[in-house]
Amino acid sequence: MTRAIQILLLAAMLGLLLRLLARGEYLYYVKPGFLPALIAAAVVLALMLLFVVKDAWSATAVEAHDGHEHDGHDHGGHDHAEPLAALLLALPLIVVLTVAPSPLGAYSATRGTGGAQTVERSFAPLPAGDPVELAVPEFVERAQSDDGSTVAGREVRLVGFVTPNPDGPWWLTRFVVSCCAADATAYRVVARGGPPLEADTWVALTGHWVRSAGAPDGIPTLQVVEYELAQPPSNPYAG
Amino acid sequence: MHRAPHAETGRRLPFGSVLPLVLLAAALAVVLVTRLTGWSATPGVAAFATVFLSIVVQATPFLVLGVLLSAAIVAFVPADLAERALPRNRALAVPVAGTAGILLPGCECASVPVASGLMRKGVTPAAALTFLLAAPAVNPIVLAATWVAFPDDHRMALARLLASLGAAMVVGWLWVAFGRTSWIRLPTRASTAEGTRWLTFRHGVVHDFLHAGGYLVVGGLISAVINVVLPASWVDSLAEQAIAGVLVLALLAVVMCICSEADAFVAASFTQFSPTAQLAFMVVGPMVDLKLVAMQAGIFGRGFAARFAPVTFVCAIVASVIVGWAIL
Repeated sequence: MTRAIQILLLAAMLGLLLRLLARGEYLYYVKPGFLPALIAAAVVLALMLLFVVKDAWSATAVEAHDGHEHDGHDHGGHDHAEPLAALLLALPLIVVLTVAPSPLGAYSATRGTGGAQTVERSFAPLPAGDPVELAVPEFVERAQSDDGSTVAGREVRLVGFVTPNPDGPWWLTRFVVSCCAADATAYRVVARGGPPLEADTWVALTGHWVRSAGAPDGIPTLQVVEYELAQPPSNPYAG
Repeated sequence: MHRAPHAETGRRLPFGSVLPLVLLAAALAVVLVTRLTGWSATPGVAAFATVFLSIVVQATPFLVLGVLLSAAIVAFVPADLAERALPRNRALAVPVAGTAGILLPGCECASVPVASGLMRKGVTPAAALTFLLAAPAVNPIVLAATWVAFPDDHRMALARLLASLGAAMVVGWLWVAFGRTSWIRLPTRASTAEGTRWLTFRHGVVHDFLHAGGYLVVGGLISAVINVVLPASWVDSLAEQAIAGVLVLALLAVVMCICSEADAFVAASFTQFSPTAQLAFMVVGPMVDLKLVAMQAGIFGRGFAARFAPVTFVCAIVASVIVGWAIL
């Protein structure tokens, strides 16, 4: 593996991190708490790049002085046997440049390991004053716990995106991520009486919980009273 | 030129050298075509890209930490430290190394380069491999996450500790009994004798990062494809059966490539499965998953990974079933 390719690959990884950090797009992939780790990784990569460039520079200077032909090999006395698979380190940057970065959306919400299977928990009563701002996952868990008594009769406001449902009203959806987007779990709420909206539209719904006896999949229903379109949040995931 | 004695490992099988080139050429062609045609990603492709990038982005800091540690071990740790710290008897060194895994607070991406650094330092492969398997599963961060993820059943964290340590040690002992050092082909690189230690460290970091990073991308690619292509309902349909449930979650752990610090939360979400199946998910995941096997193939050689991964997979499942039956 030549120095030139090493430099290109390190630069590709560094470029990937810098781009995702500069635009805040890293939040599509990992949790906000991961920021310091990503910055530290970028700093180490930058130092690695610096040293490889410096070595290449001094190696070229030595060659020019000795009048040797550059044969593309390392002159520091090291064997370089990186497998060609190392070239794939350029791929993440290529993907970012080809496919515009986006958070997980409606396509993933109904696939993979399916919806959230929550455990019943005990919740404190909601604070006074309707409507109460709630995260979609918390609303789902409250509706499933204690017979929904903490949300019954209350008006709530939920923010999420639209996931089309072929068999009924669309689902208001939010993903919960515990480490990275590969482990995301979708939380869904049936938006009864909601306006017709495109998939992946972000929307804030105000409404109240509907006790639905026969919801086999555990997805609670919200009777929509009011809606307004919402900006996609900078952190698309909850939890 | 100072050539390391096993420098021929740099040569690869023809198809092995061609495959990454073909993949890269295909990727470049895709970029060109998409730019020229004004193509925009379909939801499926966008989902694939998000899962692929999340695996890579999430693993990169841990990989960087791992290669820094590995290079530091090779460059700065005295050569005889491992000999003094580990029992001379290889069978005794295995449990010591497994317990030492508690000390490395990271996930599996860091442990592969660290284990190769230990081997270069003269640690017996059985002990280094036991450490490789145990460290990502039994360190305090992972056990704390497991404790939090299963609030109603704290025996799960204990079961995870026991099953992971047990599986790692059994694999270590199997290596003592049957393993051959010739299966392991560590990548060539500078010996510590030449240059300054600082130079050795610097070259080691770059070399290990490129080496393991490329394979990390391979694993992330495969995992993301399966994640997006996987039929929505096959998992749920098999949850009811006891044995099939364990196998399904174990295979899912291999495919999903979730960081060991996060997998407990995912395991806890599989409430339709038995606790033993959930345990198998958490024991198999940090030991055998696609990105890990790809990295092992890259750092220790394909012949090694082809033997090591299946044996580890079986040991992890057996350990989970025994511990799950006894405790859960």
